[in-house]
Amino acid sequence: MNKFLTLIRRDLADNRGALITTPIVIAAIMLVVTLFASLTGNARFGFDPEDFANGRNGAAVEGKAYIDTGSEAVAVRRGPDGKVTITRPNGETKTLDETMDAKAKATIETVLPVGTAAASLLPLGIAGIAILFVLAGALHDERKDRSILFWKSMPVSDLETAAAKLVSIVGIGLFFALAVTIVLNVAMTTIAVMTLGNVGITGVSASTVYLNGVKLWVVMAVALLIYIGWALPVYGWVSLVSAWAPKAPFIAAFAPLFVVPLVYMAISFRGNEHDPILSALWEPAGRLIGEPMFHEMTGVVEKSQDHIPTIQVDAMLAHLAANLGQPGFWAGLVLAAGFIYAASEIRRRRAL
Amino acid sequence: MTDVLISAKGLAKSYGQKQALKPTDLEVPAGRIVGVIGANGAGKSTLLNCLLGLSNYDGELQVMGMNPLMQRAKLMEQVCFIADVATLPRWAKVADLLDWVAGLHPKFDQAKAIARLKTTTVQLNARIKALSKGMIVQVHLAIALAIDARILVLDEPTLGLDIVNRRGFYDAILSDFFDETRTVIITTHQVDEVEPILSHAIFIRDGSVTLDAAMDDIAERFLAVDVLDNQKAEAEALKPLYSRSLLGRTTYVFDNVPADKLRGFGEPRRVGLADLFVALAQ
Repeated sequence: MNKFLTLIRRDLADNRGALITTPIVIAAIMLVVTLFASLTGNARFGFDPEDFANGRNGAAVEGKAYIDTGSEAVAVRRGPDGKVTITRPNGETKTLDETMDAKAKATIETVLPVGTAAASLLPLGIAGIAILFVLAGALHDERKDRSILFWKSMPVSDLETAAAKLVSIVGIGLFFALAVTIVLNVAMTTIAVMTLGNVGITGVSASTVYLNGVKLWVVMAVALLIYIGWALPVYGWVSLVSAWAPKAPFIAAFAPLFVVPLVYMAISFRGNEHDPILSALWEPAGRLIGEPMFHEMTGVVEKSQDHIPTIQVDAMLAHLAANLGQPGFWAGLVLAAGFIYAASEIRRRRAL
Repeated sequence: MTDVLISAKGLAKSYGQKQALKPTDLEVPAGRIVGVIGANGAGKSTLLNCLLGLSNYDGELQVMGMNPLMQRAKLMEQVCFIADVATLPRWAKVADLLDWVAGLHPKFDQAKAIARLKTTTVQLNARIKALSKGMIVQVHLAIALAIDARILVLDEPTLGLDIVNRRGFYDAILSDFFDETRTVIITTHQVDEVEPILSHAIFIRDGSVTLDAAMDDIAERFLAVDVLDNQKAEAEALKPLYSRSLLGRTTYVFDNVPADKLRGFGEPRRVGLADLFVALAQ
């Protein structure tokens, strides 16, 4: 086990830029942009306050249940203390807080963490792409720079090496990006909650907002685990090609996954979107974008009977758990194990 | 009983139609320093790759009683090798590399490696790519010598190094690694530099082992003598292995001709490995 952990430490050091630095830098940029936007004040709610003054856009604001006005134009002002007031054409002026009832505030408690969570997903998304490049080079680059001869002088099996690369690049790479995403989510949620207070909205429970955020993190972590399970045969395939390809392993790995279905479409596709051959050919790409996992998934937020939206944690977790009951999921894992074993065998039988 | 570390019967390796190593029998006990000598492409590295489990092969091969191809990971606990000067991962820091080797190799003494490196100009926090070739060899050597291995395999370990670093390299192998329980196998083009430390030599030519002998046997079996022109016919009657005329003198190399018979031409002397290799290649 100590050997395996050492291999993972080595691989993380080898790919520190792509796996560690990249998500952090992206999160930092997003945080700075969000902070800048909130401080400049033009986007304190995520929309331009001038939209309030525009009757056409008022409907969109109303749709989010922030205010109880109709479609008439209203005047929105922000005082020196940051508090927002809304004046109707009849001269009635209310603070933004006064325009919101308890349901609207409960809605914020639900919707806000969902919005910040969605906005925080970029580091994870970029990591999902970055690991494909890293994985494609993992068993190829060590041959290219001849360092494989050094690593093969260590008492470590080729299977351990190939498995460690997969675990470190895919597992730790993606879950570290998720951790960065969560930290970014906390920061962005905090900025949003502070902004709410700054514009004078009271009665929104920060603890409820964070609690809803935590629920989403649990869903995201489980979803990531299930996603990796679905995509693992593709990752295994990439490892196999990395061990075999004499050059350009990324192209060698992904060209067949995209070129073959495109060629089939060009030659044989007759408009039938349910063509079983086409579906089979696109399956690897579909797995890579998590398509089987999200198939027929319900929405994240759903209105309850009292019209207060709730996060569908149980429903989402149940949907994700249902993936474990699909034969395709397990067949993919077996195929992934076969690919990894084949990659290790290729590595075992060649020095360079 | 002699402790045989490497045993091969009919060991061969082909790349497609080309037979890089023809069926070879080999037995290497402990306590030897074996030089594997041959021209480029002769099959030296192919032989070493087979011994190290780096490539598949035909025939029977046991290294430390193990099948190198199937048990490479286990074998590497007892075998250490330096392929050439450019195999350390260039992106790694020296200190990290030592940490990883300590985590991967149960017989690696990290403190010993660090102590050796502290006697050099290598900084532990330096990246490999920032080091000179000589420094990289120092790092690799520090790692190799800190591993308590039974067999050390060196494949062109000093390629591209200057004379000082080359000599220091072999001195370190002798003083800090070799004893009667261990074996060192070396391939190099700088035959003259390793010759004084070798106990055995194996010549490979076109994939075939043309000589496998102890240096003492080679010294007794092969003798060279300078012959005057008026004695050339007499010398050639003894069927020399090789002759070379230079500056008015002809040097003959004889195989298994008693020294007493050669003294009539001049004082017989042992043949250097480089000369012997050329002689056997004729």
